[in-house]
This record gives sequence, C-alpha cells and structure tokens, in this order.
Amino acid sequence: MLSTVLIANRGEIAIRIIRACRLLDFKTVAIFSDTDSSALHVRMADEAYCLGNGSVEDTYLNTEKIINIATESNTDAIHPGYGFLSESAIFADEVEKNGMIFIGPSPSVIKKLGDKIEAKQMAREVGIQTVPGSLGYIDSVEEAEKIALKIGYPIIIKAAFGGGGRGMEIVENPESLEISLMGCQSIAKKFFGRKEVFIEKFIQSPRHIEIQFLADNYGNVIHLGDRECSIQRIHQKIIEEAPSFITARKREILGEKICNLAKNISYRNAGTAEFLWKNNKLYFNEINPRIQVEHPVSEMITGIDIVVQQLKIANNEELTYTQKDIKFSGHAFEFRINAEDPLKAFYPQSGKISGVNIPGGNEVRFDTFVYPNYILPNQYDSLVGKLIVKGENRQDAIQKSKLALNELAISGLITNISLHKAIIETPEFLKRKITTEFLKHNKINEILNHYEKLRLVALFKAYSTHKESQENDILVVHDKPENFNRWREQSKFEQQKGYL
Amino acid sequence: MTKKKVRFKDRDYIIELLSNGDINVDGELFTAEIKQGINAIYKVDVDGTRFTIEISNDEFLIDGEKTEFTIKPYIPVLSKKSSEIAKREIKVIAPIPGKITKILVKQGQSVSKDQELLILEAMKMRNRIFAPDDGEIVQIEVKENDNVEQDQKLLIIQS
Repeated sequence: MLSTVLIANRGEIAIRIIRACRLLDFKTVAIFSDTDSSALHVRMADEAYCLGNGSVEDTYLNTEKIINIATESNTDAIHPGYGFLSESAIFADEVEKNGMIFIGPSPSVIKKLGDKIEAKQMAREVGIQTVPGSLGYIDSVEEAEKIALKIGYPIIIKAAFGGGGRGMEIVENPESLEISLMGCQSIAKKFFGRKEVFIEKFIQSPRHIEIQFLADNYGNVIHLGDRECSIQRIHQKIIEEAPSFITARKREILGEKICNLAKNISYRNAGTAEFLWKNNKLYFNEINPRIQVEHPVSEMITGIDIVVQQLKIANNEELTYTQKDIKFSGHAFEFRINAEDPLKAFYPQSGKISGVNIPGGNEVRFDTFVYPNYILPNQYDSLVGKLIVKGENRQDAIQKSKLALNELAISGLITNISLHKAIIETPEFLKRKITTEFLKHNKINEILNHYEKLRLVALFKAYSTHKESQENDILVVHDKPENFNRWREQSKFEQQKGYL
Repeated sequence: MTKKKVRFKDRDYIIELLSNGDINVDGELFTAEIKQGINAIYKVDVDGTRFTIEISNDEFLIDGEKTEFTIKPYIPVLSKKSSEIAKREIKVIAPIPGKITKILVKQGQSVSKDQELLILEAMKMRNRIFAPDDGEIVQIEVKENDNVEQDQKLLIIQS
C-alpha cells in the first residue's frame, strides 16, 4: 500500500501530481533547488526537502540526493513527472533497489524503449511502420555520411536517449553534417547522460500524432485515444489537441497494435506512442514511458484522470476500465504558455511575474505554478502554464479557446499568449491544415506584429483621451495642484480644529 | 499633431495621431474609437477589435496585462552620407543570461552579417548568436563555459 509519494520534479507537473495524490489521500513530498525555495510545489506539498544549489545535475538530476531524501521521508513511491529523471532507467533502478516503487515502467522496459533503435524494432514486430534510418548508433562522421547518402538528405540526427524535442538536429546538406553531429552529441551527453545518436530520414512537414495508453500490473492494457501535436516551435509542441484527425477505425486498429506492443514487453503504467503522419502514412517514432505535458487533452475527452490512474497502478490496483468503457466526447485543446518572446526567436524570459489573470468557465482549465510576484528563474523550462479547453466539437473548442486566451494575462514578462491568439485566428488552423512546420509557412510574425500594433493603438488612444480628461479635470473641475492629497488636507483641517 | 516615439513591450514604434483621428504606426493606419470610459478604464475599438485599457498612475493594463509603455517626442535622425560613416565598433551582448557553450570565431577573423558567432545555452535551449553586421572580430571577451549575465559584452566587431 502506498502512503507517501515523492515528486521528483518541479513546475506545473509537480503541482498536478500533488493534486492527484491528495485525491487518493497519499502524503506528498516535494524536492526543490535553492532557486526554487519559493516555488508553489514547495508550499503545496506536505513536506519539502532542499536539494541545495547548483546546476540541474546537482539538484533535480541528482539521483543520490533524491534517494536519500526519499529514504529520510519514508517515501513509498517516486513520481518522476516529465523531463529530468523520468526516462532514466538508472534512476528507476535505484528507486527499486532502495525498496521503493518507481511510478512508471520497470527499469528494463525504460532501457529498452530508451534505446530508440530497439523501440523501432518492437514496433515493426506488431505490424507498425517505422521511419527509414540507421539500424544502429552513429559514432563517426564517416558512418553518418554513409547512412545519410543512402537515405538521402535532409536527415535528422537524434539523441538515442533523448526526448522532449531536445538533442535533435536537422541536417540539410553534407557540409553541415559534422558540426550538427558534434552539437547533437554534446547536448545528448549533457541532458541525457549518453552521447549516442542515430540518424533517420527527415520527414519534411509531417503531422504529429500520438496514442496514450495505460497498463496495469496484471497485464491489462487500454488506450485513451489519440492526440495531434503538430503545432510546434523549434521541435517543441506548443498546441495539442484531442482527438487527432484519424478515423475511428484507424484509431481502433492503431490503438490495438500499441496495446499489443505494451503487452509484449510487459509495460506498466502510463505511456505514449508517437507517430509521424505524412501523405496518409503513419510512421512510428518512439514510445515515451512517462506522463506527457499534453496528457490533459486526453483527460478532457475521456473523463479519465491519467495521473490518478498512474498512482493507482503503482499502488498495485487493477484497471477498473476495459477498452469498451473508454468513450470519447468532444474536442480539447492545450496551449502551452511559455515565457518567451515569439518575435525574438522565442528567447526565454525570466524575472518577476507581476500579475496573473486566470480564465474560467465551463471546461476551461489552467494548470500552472506561477503566482503574482513569483520570480521565474532562468535555468529551467520556460513553460509557465497550460491552458486546456474543451468544446463540443473542434469549432466550438476553438471559439472557447479564443475567449479563454483573451482572458488569460500574465504580466511582468513576455509570454507566447499573443502567438496562440494569432495561430488560432488563421484560416489554416481553422481548417486544420496544420503540420509541424506551421509556424514556418504561415506569416505568424506579421499577424503578431499587426496584433501588437492594434494593442498599442488601443493603449495610445486611451492614454491620449485619459491625459486630456485629466488636464481638464485639474484646470476646470477641481482646480487643485497635481499633488493634492485629500487625506493630508483633512488632517490639517482636523489639527486646526484642535483634535490632536 | 507631431510624431511620437513610443516604447511598447521592449520595441520602439513611431506613432502619429492624424487630423482625421486615425492613428499611424510605422506607416500602418488604424482607426480607433473610445466606446466607453469608466474612471480610468477605457473600452477601445481598434479596427473592429475591442480592448480594455486601464490606466492607473504609471501603470497600463491591456486586457488585464500590465504593459510597459513610454512615450517621447520623435527626433528624426538625419542620415549621414556614406563617406562620413567611420569605422564603427559593434558590441555583441548577451540577450539573456546563460552559459557560453561554444565560440565559433577567432580574434581577427572576418565575419559576415548573420554568421553564427557563438552558442549561448539558457533554459536548456541552445541559442545561436549571430553577427549583426559584416566586420572583423577585434575582441572576444568571454571563454567557453563562462556564465554570462544579460547584456554582458561578449565580443566586439569592427565594421
């Protein structure tokens, strides 16, 4: 029986997991770096332990420190969230060796799936098509050149143990192969601890489809349908929606194959199979053995709390749903709100958040960890929140999203809220003519610039009117000096009357 | 009405209120109308889009978001003849705080506009810093693995 869960993460996902734990009456333990001492997850958890200062390697990626805290706090299970140690088989193994439950697949399954070459092989075994590329890892430039020539440029170099859109480089021509290979290897080493990379044919302008699945410890596997995550910037998803555009029949077939794959490898807990779609063909990309940022869109259309399910599975409970029980209703969007300037190459922003206006209404959800006067640190992810909106259908959901995005305001630093507003105004988005290169092909910057000007004009107009009325007020109506202070005048009056 | 230079959310614009009430921003024309003014809260329509603007002391809120806004008189810059342009030094500064992970140029090297100079890693992202203009690298002020502050000088290009 679980009673205490340590959350080895920060930001919105730490908050999300704490909430799910509370629902099941589990005690929560938070961990935090010095930089994060005033973070919301520290305040919300039942207990919080400091990881000290330093880089992420010294804090949120430090297995030893985390295991020590877990032991000290009598933790039964560790939820890794996404990013950080969520896909580390070594970490999962350490957790289990220390007599605790890792909320995710077994270390050996994480290892297998983390090996992207092996994962592709597993997909082929259940009859799923994969992207053409190297059958093994690439070490030298010579090897890379050979493979690239065989499959043809452009190619993509990927960190074999990577994820979250990091450690990937597209190579357009042989001249830039070497520098990209080296860059990719160093990022891989830094963020994922292993420098192995592999090469795949780069599928130009694909659409990104994925399937969410859940597996318990008793061999039951169900899927929660599909999501589309095609709207991306620099390989990172920014808008996700569920369901994707594939037919119900295709969803059923693909879902079944993925469940078979999960059964074949004795997968447990939540996972996501990612696919690339191009010219009516779906290519398997990888399996993410963890909770994903965009899980809420599936929650919205199925009504199932995925994080609660993760905790129940970890608690050795059997799934209470069969595939037949899973019904899809409506359409949901998620907008990732990042502190970044879309007009300056998405430069991340940090600093004090002076105000937050959170939208509301029926089936409008905002998962965040920021609050007024919170200082957003610069060494972590730029995600500050996720706006999740559900409608009866896609069109209805877009309409609702527009209103919610208009209500949402984060002051003090530049965010990509205006980018989301601009994207959902485009006819391409409305018609669902979207690919992962949406932002490249649509003149979003022009729309954004125009939108900024509209805002500026509105402000300027109000300012001019305000100034005029103030000048009139001072000269005609009150005829008082600008620094007139009613309270001071009042107190002077009272002093004269001898009250003091 | 004279032109004004405004700084709005880290960007500069030239704005002018025309005699017919239209507003010109960097050559683009807009029609704005105040629909309502309640104390210092204004409902403004700009080309069919409604905005709520709040003005209090020195704070400006657009649809609930606090926004930086400063306004100055516009002083036109007279363009110099090309012969008068002397060699100038361009400082390349760090746009965000982070760590220099790679320096791709050497002192004395000629670079062309938009050439990649160095890589600044911040918030887990590799940000490429490019040359703002053609020129020669006359000084490199940072080393690889240096942590830099925002606006810190990274290198100097003489053009």
